[in-house]
Amino acid sequence: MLSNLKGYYRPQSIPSALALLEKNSGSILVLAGGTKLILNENNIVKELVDITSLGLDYIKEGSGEIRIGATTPIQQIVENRILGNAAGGIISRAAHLTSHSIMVRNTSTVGGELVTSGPLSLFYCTMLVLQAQVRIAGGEEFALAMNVFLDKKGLGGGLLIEVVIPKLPAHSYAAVAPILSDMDRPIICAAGRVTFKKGLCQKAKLAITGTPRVPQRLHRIEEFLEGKPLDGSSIADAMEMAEAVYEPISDSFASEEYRKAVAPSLIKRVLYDCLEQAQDMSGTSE
Amino acid sequence: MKVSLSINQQDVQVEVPAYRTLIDLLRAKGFWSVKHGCEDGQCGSCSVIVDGRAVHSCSRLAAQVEGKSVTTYEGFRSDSRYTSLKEALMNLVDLDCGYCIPGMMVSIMALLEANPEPPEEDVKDALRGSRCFCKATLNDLSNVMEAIDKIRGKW
Ligand SMILES: Cc1cc2nc3c(=O)[nH]c(=O)nc-3n(C[C@H](O)[C@H](O)[C@H](O)COP(=O)(O)OP(=O)(O)OC[C@H]3O[C@@H](n4cnc5c(N)ncnc54)[C@H](O)[C@@H]3O)c2cc1C
Repeated sequence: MLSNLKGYYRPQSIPSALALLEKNSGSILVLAGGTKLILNENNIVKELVDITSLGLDYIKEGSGEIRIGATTPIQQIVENRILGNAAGGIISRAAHLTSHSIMVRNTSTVGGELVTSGPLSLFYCTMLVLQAQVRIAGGEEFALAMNVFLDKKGLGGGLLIEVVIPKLPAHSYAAVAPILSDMDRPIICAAGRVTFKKGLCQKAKLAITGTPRVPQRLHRIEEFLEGKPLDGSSIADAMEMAEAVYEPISDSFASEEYRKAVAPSLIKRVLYDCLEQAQDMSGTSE
Repeated sequence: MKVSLSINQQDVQVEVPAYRTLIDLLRAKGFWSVKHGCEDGQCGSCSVIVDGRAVHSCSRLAAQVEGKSVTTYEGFRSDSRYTSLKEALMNLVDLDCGYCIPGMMVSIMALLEANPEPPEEDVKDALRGSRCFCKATLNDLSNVMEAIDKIRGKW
């Protein structure tokens, strides 16, 4: 409950939203869907800037990328045909798994989801492997790669206005592998994408949730796989490495030991899924 | 602050403090089907339809529905076409309390508005956000699917 809330603004442009945020910084916050903000006990917030009239509710397909406006409801991502067909459907799947409740997904927004990302954020994890960028408006507009944004240094007092997801290069396949709680909450999840060239893994991007603060890339496994054939032997090695490099947290959903024990099989599921997609498309050779 | 909206197709204008939630506004106006439940966005008892989408009214400020169209269970309660759906849901939870039924009806109505012939998986997805406080599990949806068929006039 925002029991001290006195003011509510609905600006119609990004500059007016930024002006409001700058003028009253300290006791004023951005309001997107409100699924996090309104339910949390918060006595400090006195004013809200509702950003849902800024024209940031869109999904646009460009030649090399897909742009999602910050106030696009998560459920629109689940239902969107362009996103359903992109990157093996992992964007829609990750959006669906942000909440078991369609009522929450109808309200929560892409921007809100990314700004509030935590260790278990599957959507964030997916954006990491797809090498998405976020565009921030605050004074000047600038773009941040997801792994920079990951440190949460970049947002400052600014406004996340858009997520830009590059389309996958040719012969690239993506997959996610979650383990869900009984309330369908992903308690640990791996995401990955593999680009094949002449039957070899040319590039791999892997990330996993359950790490401190936000999901992390698994750079060492990625480097190990690059230039190798993706097969039973390299996947077994990747699993072994996952056990060594993954440093998970314990929380109310799962212990550190449990996460460490299941991480290798999630990496295996992701890599085999990419491999099977490639074989289905006969895409392992150029 | 002044908020203009439509509730069950009636235009209304209200003066509310900025912190007023939609659930409190609706209940103050006598829409008792909108229930206080977990107050945490988990149970779906407070569900209403805003511009065609089922949403929680406990995690939404009245100010957020400025210019929007809100439908509560009262908006279609007296429509006899939906009686069989309500009965199917009552049978599904198999209990006398019925506290969760308006929320469930609302989420199915929003689904039917978007797709009059939803597959069972979508019905399940729509109901997943609703919780029966008497702990019934919503597994067998065959009666609900039959009721949806009836609404479509297939019977
Ligand atoms: C039942 C339920 C289950 C939930 N489950 C989860 C869960 O599993 N994991 C999880 O992480 N969260 C969960 N949440 C919390 C919430 O749904 C997410 O954090 C959500 O995605 C927030 O989006 P929103 O648009 O509603 O953000 P809001 O509540 O409007 O805002 C959240 C925060 O982000 C800031 N913000 C929002 N948009 C922007 C922007 N464009 N630029 C700058 N700042 C911005 C706001 O100022 C605020 O501080 C759950 C909530 C409910 C009700």
